[in-house]
Amino acid sequence: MSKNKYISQEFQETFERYLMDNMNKEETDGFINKLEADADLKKAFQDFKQMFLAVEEEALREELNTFHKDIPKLDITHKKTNKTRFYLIAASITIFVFIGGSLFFNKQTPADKLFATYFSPDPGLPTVMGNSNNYKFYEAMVDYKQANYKTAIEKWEPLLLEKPKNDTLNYFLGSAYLAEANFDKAITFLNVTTQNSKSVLLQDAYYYLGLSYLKQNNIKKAKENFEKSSNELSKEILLQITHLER
Amino acid sequence: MGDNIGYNQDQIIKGFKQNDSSILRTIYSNTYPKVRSHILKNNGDEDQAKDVFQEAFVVCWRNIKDSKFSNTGSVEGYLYTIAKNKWTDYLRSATYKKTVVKSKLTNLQIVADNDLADEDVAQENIEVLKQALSKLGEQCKTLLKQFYYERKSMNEISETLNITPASARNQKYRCMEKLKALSLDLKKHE
Repeated sequence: MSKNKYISQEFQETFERYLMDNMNKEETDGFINKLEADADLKKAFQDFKQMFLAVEEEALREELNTFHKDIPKLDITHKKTNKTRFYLIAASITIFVFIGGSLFFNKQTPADKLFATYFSPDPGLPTVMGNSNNYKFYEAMVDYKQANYKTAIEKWEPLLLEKPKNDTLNYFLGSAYLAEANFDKAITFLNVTTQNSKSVLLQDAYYYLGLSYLKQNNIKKAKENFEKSSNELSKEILLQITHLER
Repeated sequence: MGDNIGYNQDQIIKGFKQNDSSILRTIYSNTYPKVRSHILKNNGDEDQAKDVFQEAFVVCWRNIKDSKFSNTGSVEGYLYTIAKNKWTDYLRSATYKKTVVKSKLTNLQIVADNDLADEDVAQENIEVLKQALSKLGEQCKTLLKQFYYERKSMNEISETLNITPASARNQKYRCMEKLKALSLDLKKHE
């Protein structure tokens, strides 16, 4: 049987009867024995079986699409509502808290507003892995940059045992606590950084200290720290504070 | 949802082997909502759910025909598992690119290649044949579909096509011969 020549009609019909389960037990056994004894026949059968499967599969796929049309569409509004509802609730709570905070309870002070305008967490240091000494520090930096401040804090705090006065470590612990709105802790750590007058982070540490005190409505301490910081934002915020005081 | 009212496991398996439309439809409509719900909960959308489910359905159908499905579990459970695994594979493939180091990825691919080599070749042939099928004339397509998939008799087919049963039988042979020739042509030009 030549490789490329198609099988005879007789063979085709025998193969069909086998594949379509139309043979009795005796005939099936005889057919299988023949296949096992004749490699060419077996190959011809396998080729035919693939054609048979291809025709079937193509038809099945068409039919699956027909079945699919009968599937009740997932109530898109319902589905969306599930997600949207979550956001709506979240948004309403946020709005309520804001409105509640500023109007109803009238608790948002001008200092809070200033803080909200100026505060954004320090973006963190580039995390270049490889320096094994600092591995743990930078591992936590990855968390910090992903705004997983609690995890970063958990990883950084044990490092203080070795380097309690390290300006960078204290600075980022302060920043992380500030981002977590834990102002007392933020002040404690940032104050350690400002004790190192040579720290490259000194100006920023004063700035964030200023913001922490501002948020605590300690305007005097806030001003002191902004005044010590040479960064542009500190100067800007100082002007604003002066307006506040008028 | 979940019970195949009126069908027992043997009937379902037989239904898959014989392409019984009402059984296939029942399994489809019973299982799809569960798969969709899983995929929607796991970062997918409805179109992805449909694609993954239909691919899984074809695999399930093929495995039942090849007697690869062990009769112990339910067909629906089996189909659901295939679809779920397919979705997991899809999610992994997207994240693998970012997280797995290159050496590990190479190992994974080698293992996968060895495992799937034979099935891949068979599946590739079927893909070529499906392309060839699209090049057949409409009459051939209808005839082959009615005979091989819908399992209609030559008499029934001859009626729908308005030809004699003998002519239908001959046409079926000619159409398959043509399909074979077209697929060989496609392979030559690959």
